[in-house]
Amino acid sequence: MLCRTAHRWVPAEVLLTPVGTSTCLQAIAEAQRRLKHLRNLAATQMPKQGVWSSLASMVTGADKMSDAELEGTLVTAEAGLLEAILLLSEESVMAFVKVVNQQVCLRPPSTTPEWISIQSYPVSVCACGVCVLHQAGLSIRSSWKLYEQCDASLNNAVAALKAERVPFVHQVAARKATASLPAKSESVRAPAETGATPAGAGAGAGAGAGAGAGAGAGAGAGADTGALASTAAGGYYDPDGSAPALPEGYSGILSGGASSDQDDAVVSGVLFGMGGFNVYLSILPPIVLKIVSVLGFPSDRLV
Amino acid sequence: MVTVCPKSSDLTANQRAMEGVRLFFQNQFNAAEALFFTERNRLPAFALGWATVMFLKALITLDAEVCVAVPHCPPVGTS
Repeated sequence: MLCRTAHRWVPAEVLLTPVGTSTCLQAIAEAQRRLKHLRNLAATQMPKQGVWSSLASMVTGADKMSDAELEGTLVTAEAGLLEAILLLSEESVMAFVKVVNQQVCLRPPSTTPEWISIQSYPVSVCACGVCVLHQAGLSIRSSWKLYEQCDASLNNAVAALKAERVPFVHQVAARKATASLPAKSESVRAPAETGATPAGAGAGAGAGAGAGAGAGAGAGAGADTGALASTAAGGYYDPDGSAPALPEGYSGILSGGASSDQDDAVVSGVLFGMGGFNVYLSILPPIVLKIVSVLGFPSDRLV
Repeated sequence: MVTVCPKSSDLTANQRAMEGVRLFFQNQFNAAEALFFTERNRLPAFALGWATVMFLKALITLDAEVCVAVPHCPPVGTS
């Protein structure tokens, strides 16, 4: 069996092992096709990037996006990040077979690019590793910029999180604790005022939810009940007492804020994307981290 | 380019997407994929789930044994 390339025929055995193992490349090709579809769909909800809108945003300083625009931007960033992860995974695992969507080879025009179609899927295999790294780099960069736009539109929730060095895992654990844990022997860091009023403490969710965190830790059974109620309102679960206290007057994401479910989902999406970005950056060697930090990407592993 | 046509049922789109996520984490891969498939052309959440399911499948099935090395291109700058 031969695969038609742009310039010549290449034996399919070069790409695929004989029996039933082409599903690997088929899944990759199908995933890339779906991610491309996702990008096209999300592009309809992206903010308009016209000259006048850019000038207006520069003058007014408004970088807020509507809910639909925020969702479109977040989905586009997500698609770019997944594409980059797919490309980098192929790069590390396959080492030689590279799949790219964009049929542009960076080699000099004098050389002959080698493009090989995989069955009926509209993707191609390039034997040039520069293409893959270039495509993945561009995808990651654009995704990071989109995540930053979302973060800016969300009042820099992620940046505030990084500045305060408060682990996001405590927020997740707090939600689990409200549903399951009796919390007889564990301490729950909670705002002083909400911990003092067990009944109806959840109704007081808001800006002052994080103030005085840690004051209600280690109280009796009644105080535990109040602490759990205030955990739902915005305190966070801290079984070993090692987490730092929320700063005075904190009203960010960890306090529960005044956000709706959709805002919560969007903030979670931004946190997931930026967290995944940092995870993949942390895989890179230190010398590469220094280079990418010069290029403007954060190489800090603390968030 | 796919156009987005919001409907009145969009109010529950996130809930339906979360149902697909629940199916996925309950090891009902095909059911989750079928659910995301239904409105993948209209709702970004469904399209994202539809793509993410196949993305995870691609990562899971990724196997270096499957692919045999193809000859590298000549280094950049050489022909």
